Amino acid sequence: MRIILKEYLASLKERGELDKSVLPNLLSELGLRVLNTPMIGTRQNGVDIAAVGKIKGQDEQKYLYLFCIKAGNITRRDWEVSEQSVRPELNEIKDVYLRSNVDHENGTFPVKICLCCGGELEETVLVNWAGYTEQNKTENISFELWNGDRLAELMMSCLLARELLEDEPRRNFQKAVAMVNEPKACYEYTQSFLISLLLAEHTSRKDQLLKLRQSYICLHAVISWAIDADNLESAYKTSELALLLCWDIVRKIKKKKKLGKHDRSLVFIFDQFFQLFLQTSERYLLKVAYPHANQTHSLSVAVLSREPIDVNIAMFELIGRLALHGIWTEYISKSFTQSNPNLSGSLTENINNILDKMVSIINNNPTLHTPIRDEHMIEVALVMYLAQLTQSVNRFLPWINVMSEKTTFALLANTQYPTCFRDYADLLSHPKNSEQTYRDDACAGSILYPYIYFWAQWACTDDEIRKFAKRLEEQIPQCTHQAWFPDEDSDNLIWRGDTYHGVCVTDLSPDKGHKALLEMLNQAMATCTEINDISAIRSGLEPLFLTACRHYRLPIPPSFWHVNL
Amino acid sequence: MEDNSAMESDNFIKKALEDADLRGGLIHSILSIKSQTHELGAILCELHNAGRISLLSKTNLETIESLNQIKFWAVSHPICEAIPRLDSSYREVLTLVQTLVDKAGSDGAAGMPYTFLIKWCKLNPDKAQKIVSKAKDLDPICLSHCTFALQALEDIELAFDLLSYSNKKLVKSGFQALGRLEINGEPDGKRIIDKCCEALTPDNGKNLRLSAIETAFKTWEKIGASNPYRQQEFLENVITQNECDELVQLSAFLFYHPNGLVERSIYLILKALTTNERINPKATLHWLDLAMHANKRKWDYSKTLDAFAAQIARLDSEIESNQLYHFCDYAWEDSDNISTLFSSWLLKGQFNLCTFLVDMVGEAGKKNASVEIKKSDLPNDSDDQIFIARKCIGFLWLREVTAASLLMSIVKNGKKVARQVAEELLFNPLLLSYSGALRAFLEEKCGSSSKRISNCAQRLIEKHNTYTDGLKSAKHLVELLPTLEQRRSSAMLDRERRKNIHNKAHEKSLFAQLTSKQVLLYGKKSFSIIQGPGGEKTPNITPLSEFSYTTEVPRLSVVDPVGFTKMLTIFRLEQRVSK
Repeated sequence: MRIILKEYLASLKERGELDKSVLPNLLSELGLRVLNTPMIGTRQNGVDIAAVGKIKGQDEQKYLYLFCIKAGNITRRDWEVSEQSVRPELNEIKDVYLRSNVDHENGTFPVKICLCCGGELEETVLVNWAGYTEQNKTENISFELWNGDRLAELMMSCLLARELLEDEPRRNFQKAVAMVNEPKACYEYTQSFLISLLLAEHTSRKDQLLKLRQSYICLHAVISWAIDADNLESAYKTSELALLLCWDIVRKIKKKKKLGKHDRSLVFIFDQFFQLFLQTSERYLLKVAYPHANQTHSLSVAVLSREPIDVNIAMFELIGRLALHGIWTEYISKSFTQSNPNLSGSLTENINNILDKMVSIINNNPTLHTPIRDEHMIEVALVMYLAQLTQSVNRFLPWINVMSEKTTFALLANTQYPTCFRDYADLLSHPKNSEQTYRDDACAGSILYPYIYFWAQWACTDDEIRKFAKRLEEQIPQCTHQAWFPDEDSDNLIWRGDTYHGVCVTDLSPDKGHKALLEMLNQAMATCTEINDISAIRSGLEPLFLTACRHYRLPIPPSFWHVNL
Repeated sequence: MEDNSAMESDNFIKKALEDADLRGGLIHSILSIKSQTHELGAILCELHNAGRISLLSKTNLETIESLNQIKFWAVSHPICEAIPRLDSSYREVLTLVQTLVDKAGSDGAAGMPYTFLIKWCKLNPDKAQKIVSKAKDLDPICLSHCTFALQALEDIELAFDLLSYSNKKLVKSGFQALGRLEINGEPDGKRIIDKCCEALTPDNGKNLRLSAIETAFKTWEKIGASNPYRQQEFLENVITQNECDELVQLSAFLFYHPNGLVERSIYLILKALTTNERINPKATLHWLDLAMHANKRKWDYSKTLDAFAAQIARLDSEIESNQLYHFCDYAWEDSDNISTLFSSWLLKGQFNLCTFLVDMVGEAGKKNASVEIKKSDLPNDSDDQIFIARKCIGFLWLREVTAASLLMSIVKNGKKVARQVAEELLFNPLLLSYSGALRAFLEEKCGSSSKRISNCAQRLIEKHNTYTDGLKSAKHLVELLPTLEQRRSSAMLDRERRKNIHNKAHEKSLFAQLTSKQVLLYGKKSFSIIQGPGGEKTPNITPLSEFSYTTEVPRLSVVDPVGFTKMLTIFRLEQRVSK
């Protein structure tokens, strides 16, 4: 375990990972109160994190801890080359920070200036460090080196100690780390340790915070290992899962004008999970989607499979993640419209880039014209939702048009038509034969066709719509065309991955006409109002609900089909 | 010494046969003795004529009828050899011949006993005359064998005489005999043809008419193609009657009796076969293919193609190229032939014809052969050229090099708009699907002496380079790989598929059908004992040889299965718009 942690800390190549992800949680669990966390671009006068308090089992009195943080190993070059080198920063803490940045309340405590790094202080710098600390220590100011070894030891003692982290989650965490190159296995082990840490009954509020921090640190370690192994699939899936499980705890915070200390800590940790998810998502898309979006078939061929279903599943997964990232970016952009118009503008540019990439990926990977899994309606709906949020619907209507033609042509030609089968073995051999009994089974129900039909009004000509409805009526007359709404149980279950809840609206068959479809949907929306009670939606975090739908494969409800902006 | 021992052996055989006949087991005895002597036919004849056995007894004939096919063919030959010198009544001999022929059924050698009957009739002319005279009295067994008696008697007038009778079976025998007898030059020939012409009335019934037609063809062959006496009139008469069996018969006579036919008559028959919708296409194709082999240097190729095309188009199911071996052989012999064939049949766009072309360049034919359509064979209209290009993709997409070579012909010789379409199709779907043999083919074409072809090939290679560079750049994306479980499941499915292919290959294999099967679990050579003619045993070690077949999975069927299927379906089904 210690070796895993040490390796993990050394692998944190970006400074932000250490000072934003690891240290605040660690310091909190050590018993310190974190005064500030680092902000990039603002003047910090050498201090990345300031905290005050007494470390359990080490300090006899309270100290003001000032951390100067560097990623990885500290080499000779890092010691004294530029303004951001160690020595100038230590000087700055001593000469500027202590004189101008410490408030009265904390000014009375003795100061510990800690040089912190995930790796080691290299031998060539050790003498400089010793000389510097000897020369600058005073009665009130002392220096400490917090290297990877020390951090690992502290994490072991206060976060992941045997008495704090039980055997089962510990084992699952270790297995998850070992399996980062097999995303499904890694996801399952991560899910196991996250569930046992987060969903188990917590004995106290403190215990709840500890478990959340443990989860975060462990998850962060798994993700770091995955990044190190250059396999971001595990990282993406686990960070998304953790975000949802964390929300399951945070959603229970009662709305108050001013949050209490515990609730603030909960929100802070949720924010860390959220940041981690967004960063992982961005990193994933930067590697997988953006550079290859404009190249014909590149992404499809990269699946390295001779089975069309593998390519289809992988491409819909990718387009869904891209759309979701766009939805989150749009959400964040909007929240900064007033407070930080520059950031908002830059995020809008990001969204435009995402939209461009989505169009390119759809055009260059034609498997996206014919979803084989009926549940790929989720991905289509996410794309169309983002398109509506960004007034880009017209760019995606041709896609809906092609889908309406090709999915029904596939029925005529008895080749890879959408099916509600979920088992991979069934999908692999689909269609097994051309018999109607098999087809009725494979298309027993559909959430995809009503959704396509809904958009066909804008995407297709009258003739095309008639052809679409006629083909469905002739080829899969037994199919139950349907949509899903959350119910009163949904909020308690959805975040944990339970999918047995909600209301299924049927009678959405395209042969009844568009007007009938709209009437039915409107009535259902007026009746099934429990969606408004979903915690994320109540809190204005619609993208979180959509994330849960995508992650746990629940249909996007009609409330998100057409957005009145 | 040797003579004595041979005599002893003969005596032993004769005694054994005699004893067996007494027990009612002569036929089975023939089976066991057969390998001991080559003179069994003569021995049987000798014993029968001496009254020591009764070869033609009812018991023996019934035993022959009850034999299985393997045993029957084993006894048939010595019995047939005994026939010519049998000293028996004509009725007994005819009954034996009838029994042998009936038992042989539809086998190709079923008529062998008739040859020996003719020999018997020649040695017994009085008995042959009796057969004819009894036939005139409508004795059934004599009526059935009258033709052979007439053939043995070589009496043309006697044959003509039969034509004057009212009984159609008798007249048919007369015609059959006239067809088989030698004639004394043109006058006899013309006389026979005249009679054949007369017989072509609808009242005469199918069998008689068919005999008359056959006799006419044989007679033209005897008098030579320089004098096609009443040939046009006769053929037009047959064709006008529009009797399916007779038309099929005409196609058979193109193979059996082509020498007496003039060119015009051949085309008359081919035209009739092309235009008549009701004839049996499978039988007609069989005869045409054989005739093709016999007459390939004489026939006009495009008319022949039309006749074949008409039959293939009428088939209920697809036909494989190995079923028309001679036709394909002739087509591949000459690049002009193959050019005309592909151009005309792709332009027709008919499903059976196009799938036949696919088979010609498939595993059973010349796999992935390069086919060039000559400028003279390419239709003038650019829409037609585009039509050919699309049909080429629709049907030949699994034979990428053949498809590409055909498209390159359009690039070389087609109109501007068709050239563009062909080049686009060469890239998408062909080059997007195949990077192996097709790429090598195009690289070779970069050095073509035709500027259009070399420029087009270079452009395609450049585009393909850009495409493959894109693929390479994303090769490292482990995130997109299927999960371990998915990979396991698809490997299992793949294994099942390969097993099925293996089994089907065994079912279709000619070797597997001809030989017994042994499975070697170890080693790379097999040991066996070969038994020589004298029973000596020779050990033999045979090294194993390997037959393998590789094919490239078209990429589009994985990355865009439905879109690709749709494209192919449209290309296959679309029909030419007549202008």
